[in-house]
Amino acid sequence: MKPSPVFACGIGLALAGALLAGCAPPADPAAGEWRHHGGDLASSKYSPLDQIDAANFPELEVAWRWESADKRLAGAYDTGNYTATPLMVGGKVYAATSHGQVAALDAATGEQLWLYDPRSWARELPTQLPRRTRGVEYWTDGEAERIFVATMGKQLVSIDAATGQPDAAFGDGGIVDLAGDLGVDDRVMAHISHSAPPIIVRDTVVVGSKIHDYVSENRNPPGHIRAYDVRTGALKWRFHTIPQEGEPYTETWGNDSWKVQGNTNVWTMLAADEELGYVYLPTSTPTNDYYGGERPGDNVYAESLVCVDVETGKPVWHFQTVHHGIWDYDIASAPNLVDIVVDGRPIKAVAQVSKTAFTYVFDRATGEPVWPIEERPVPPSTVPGEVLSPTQPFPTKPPPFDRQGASEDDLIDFTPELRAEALEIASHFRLGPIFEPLIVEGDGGKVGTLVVPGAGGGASFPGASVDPETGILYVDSFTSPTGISVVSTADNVTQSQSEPGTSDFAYEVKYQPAAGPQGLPLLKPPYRRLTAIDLNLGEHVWQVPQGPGPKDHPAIKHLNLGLLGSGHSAGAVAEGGILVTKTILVDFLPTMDERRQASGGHLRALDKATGQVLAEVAVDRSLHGAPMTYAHEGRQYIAVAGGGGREKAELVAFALPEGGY
Amino acid sequence: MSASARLALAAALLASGCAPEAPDVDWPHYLGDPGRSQYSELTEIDRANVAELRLAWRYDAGDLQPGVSIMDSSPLVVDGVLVGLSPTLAAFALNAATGEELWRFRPDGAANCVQRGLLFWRARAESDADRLLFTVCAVLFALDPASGRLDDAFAGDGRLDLSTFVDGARLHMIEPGTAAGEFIVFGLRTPGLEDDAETGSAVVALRGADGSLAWRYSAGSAGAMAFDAERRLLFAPTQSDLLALDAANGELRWQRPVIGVGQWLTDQAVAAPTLVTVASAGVPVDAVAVPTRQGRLHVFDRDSGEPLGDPAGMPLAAEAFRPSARTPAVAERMAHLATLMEEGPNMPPTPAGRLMFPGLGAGTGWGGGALLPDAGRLIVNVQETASVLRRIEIPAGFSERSIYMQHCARCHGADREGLYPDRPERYGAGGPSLIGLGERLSSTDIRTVIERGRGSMPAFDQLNDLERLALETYLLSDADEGQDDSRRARSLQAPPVTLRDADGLPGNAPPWGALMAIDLVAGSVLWQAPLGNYLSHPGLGLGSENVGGPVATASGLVFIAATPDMKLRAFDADDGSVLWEADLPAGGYSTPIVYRAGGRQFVAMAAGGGRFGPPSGADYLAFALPP
Repeated sequence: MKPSPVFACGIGLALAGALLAGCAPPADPAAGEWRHHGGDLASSKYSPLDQIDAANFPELEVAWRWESADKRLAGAYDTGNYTATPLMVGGKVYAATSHGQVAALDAATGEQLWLYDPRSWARELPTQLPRRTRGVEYWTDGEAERIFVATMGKQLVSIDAATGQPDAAFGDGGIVDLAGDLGVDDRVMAHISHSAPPIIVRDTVVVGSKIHDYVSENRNPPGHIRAYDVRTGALKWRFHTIPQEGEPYTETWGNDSWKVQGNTNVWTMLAADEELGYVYLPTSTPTNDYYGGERPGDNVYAESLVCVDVETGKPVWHFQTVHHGIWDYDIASAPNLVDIVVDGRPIKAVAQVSKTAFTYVFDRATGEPVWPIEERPVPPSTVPGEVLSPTQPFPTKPPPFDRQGASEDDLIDFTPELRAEALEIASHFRLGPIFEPLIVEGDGGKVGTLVVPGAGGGASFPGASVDPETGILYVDSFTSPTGISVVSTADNVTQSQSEPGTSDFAYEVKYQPAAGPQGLPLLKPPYRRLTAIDLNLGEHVWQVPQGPGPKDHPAIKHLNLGLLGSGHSAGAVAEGGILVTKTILVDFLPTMDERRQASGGHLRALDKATGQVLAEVAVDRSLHGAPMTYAHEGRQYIAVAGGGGREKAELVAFALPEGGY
Repeated sequence: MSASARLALAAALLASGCAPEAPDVDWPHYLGDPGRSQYSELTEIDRANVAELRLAWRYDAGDLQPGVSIMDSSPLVVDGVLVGLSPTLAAFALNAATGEELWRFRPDGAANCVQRGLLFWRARAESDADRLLFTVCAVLFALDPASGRLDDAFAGDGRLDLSTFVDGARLHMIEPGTAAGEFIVFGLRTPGLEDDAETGSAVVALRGADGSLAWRYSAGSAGAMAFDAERRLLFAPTQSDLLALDAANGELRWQRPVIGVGQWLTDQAVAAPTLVTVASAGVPVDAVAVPTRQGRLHVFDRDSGEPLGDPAGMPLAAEAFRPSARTPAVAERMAHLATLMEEGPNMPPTPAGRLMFPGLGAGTGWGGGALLPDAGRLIVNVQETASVLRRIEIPAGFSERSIYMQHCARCHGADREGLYPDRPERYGAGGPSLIGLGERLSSTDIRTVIERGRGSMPAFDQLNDLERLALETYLLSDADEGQDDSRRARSLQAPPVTLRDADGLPGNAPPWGALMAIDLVAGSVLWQAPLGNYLSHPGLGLGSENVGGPVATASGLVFIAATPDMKLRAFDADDGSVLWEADLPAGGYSTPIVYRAGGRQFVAMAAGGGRFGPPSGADYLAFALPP
């Protein structure tokens, strides 16, 4: 239901009055601030602001633009699309550039107040793509204010928000060298860098890492989580995502592989509960994403949601979403902390969406699943040396939000001819439900396994958003069937070795093209979808395709199929995110010109009740960052990072025309 | 600026409540004075308080071209007004105490040239006017310092094309001229015509009053000159000699070889000579000192031209190449490289690469030396690096495209559009499009990616130099361009490169950059300190390559930036210890100036960056003690 314009206007004026009177408590998000990457520590991406609604959305205009200060670094390495989400606190927007420079901007005009460059761009070139900083974190004790950034150059930087200068009391002149404190000294450090912002809870800065996936050696850096004192930069604790000598779960890393394995990192964003003093770590796959013969066992804490006590760094509880992962099913996004009521029982919950298209929901204090999560048998592997877990966890509720696995029934049947072609293509692949094992290329006459949702499918790093007032979770997902096999490294050139026989791993991945007939997708639509899940009930509220998809493809145009969802093959990439406000959902879809180049962007308002597109605003900039919103001096703004690469990289802030709200 | 304008400015300063507590002290000449002392008598900033220095003002000179522009200019301060040049050589004037802009002047015509400074010429007769002069490529502009407008009384319309004095249209003036009494003197040099002194290069003296030619001396000249007013002698450094010219008529007094540069290292910037006094057999002798790119300091008697001290010059840097042994791996690789290459100066490049030491950019460049006259001490910054000169033989039957097809097309497609143009985000399923690569990556970056790999792309370190160069050429060419040069054998000289290790650090033994103090009386090095670091290795402490010069103060401080770590530093002139440093927004590849305005002493400089990697900058910054 849309609020009437008059109603919306009244609320807006009331909000403006409250702000002008200065009576809004500074820590209250109602004041219209955006203090953390996900809006709040719970990663809700929610704002109670309501000045902008579906009715006035078409009147949005560009209030200000700020060109990324990376322009001055022309000649430094490429960072591609500009995706960083800014914060807004106390009338100042704090923005990271892709190279990890930090700027303070006037929230009303976008005028740059200061810029600090930690010179990350001049340090060792990180090997893992994409190379870009995704944002900053804010901290205050009520007086001092600090902005933190973790750079690709392995620096944790504390910047005084008042001056834009590094805090001399923190680390070495404001910087902690993240190359240290990892507890290892024999790893290739070019493979580890930092992209996501740290999170700060109870005066503790918690930092994840980004680690190169395609390596042929053991001894890739491990993804251990580090925590530092927010004032001094002293290391408070290190949590071993791969357990080390004397710690529980080393037995889940057979062959003593815990000694040499790496990755198992948290490359995406974090969430935390200040009251409980817990931080929630969504971890990724161990080294060699697709073959685990050298790491027999469940590999705890890989592909897990780990709840850690922020004072001690000790795990409180954990849940492994994939045992002994070989499908690159990293948990790619921050979990959402939300208070729900299930069967009349209030639960402080944490909901984790994943590439698997499952939503895992737990009591966030105890780790007890809100609805049963069953261990169900899954097939064994035929790959020599690969021993898979006999079972994998399947949440009984909520239902998956995207297609899982593939059978012949899932192949397109737009026309009999297309279906025949799809059957022929699919016959080269091993089909099966989610967790279908990978095969050696050629095994059983198949080139590989069709992995669905695929490493690029399900919910990627934008993750889900939550309306804390309703307990409804909104998640954007892709169906990305990926043909994957493994090949012996003894006699193949692979992604990580140009000379056969030089890899530490017996098998490595080989992707197999799995495009459908005539450039159409192989599987039935939708290819990208937006799902609303009521976390109180564990049920879908609605699900809609996101974007037109290939509906105008010559082979099917005559069928007038409606929206099919714009998957990866339509040029869509997993970026951005869903902004939830009191009134609407805000997101964007990429717009491609005939050369498949991004051609401007469209900011969209969606109905929270139905997912239908209610309004759109076009802007001459391709949009890439997660949209955020804030209010300043009575005016609500929506800011999005866009451009980058060959386009001008800039933050674009939208607002209603002055005097028009 | 006329006398009345000066009074007006003084009155304005008084009226605004900025009454100077101490008289203003200008910096009216490039490098401080006609003797190019790079020295200030000011003592307000001293060893005890230098750590308190703060940014006093910052001026964005505009015209920034990110990733492209450099800004070598050292500004002047005349009558409390700071004048400088932007990256594209627009002139501007600021209140030297506040950084407030007073005027800007945009020279007409394209300005893809650099310029290291300006020239102020003080009126000598009641009928004359003060002039601010600077060159943009070949054209000399004369401005009214008060208004920034072209001065019509000079050369007809305030503009003079200096290429009319030499037979070459490609004249590219880099150094400011020298005020010598009623004359202003310029060294003109035409790239490529240095050997033809009769037409290609000359020193010309123009009358400051109207720009008319006073005299012309045919000789190649590159560097800024020093002027001895008492003797009316000009000391002009060329690529190979130091000349002493009679400033009255341009007659050659003496000429001494100092550099000995061969044809493979032309276009080396040379330092301005410094007028010094040395002791010879216990007797003070007026001398002129020139530090060189070869890392030697030559000192001559100003009158006779007789060398003082070692006729071959006093060595300031290592004489012979030694490979870096920073780590065992680096030591192994550098020693191996050195065995592949022939070593020797002034010899043609070879296919394997000729190792040249000192290399291009080594020794002391145009930054010159800063003199502490009372202590008889000269402070110079030096660089020790090796260059590799390669000749690339391209055999017949070879084309750039074939190298691409052989190594890259498998992942990036035969037409460079990427293997799966519709799935650009899936690098795992094929390489991305390389169309327009030159707009996204620098050639250095492209080379890095080829050599080291990136993401899922393996390193192509097995390519030889010929293949890599061909590949870079092809990747940077337009997609539609025909690339079939395969039918004939060719040869090309690769641009000289600095020998580097796998981390991009110089491949010779450190120090790679040093600041040193030379006792002119004893003829010995008093102290030497590492100068600069690399941003990639900020704590190494082995010195770095450096561009730009030092400036000294009577309070015993030496200020110098010049390094890739983008810092301005203050050294103790007595022992070389670092007393203060500040981050600059871009590398300060110019020479700082020191002056007093509004009762405060300032240290100011341009931070133009654009060398040794990003960023470029357009800021002028002035540092002072808190008021």
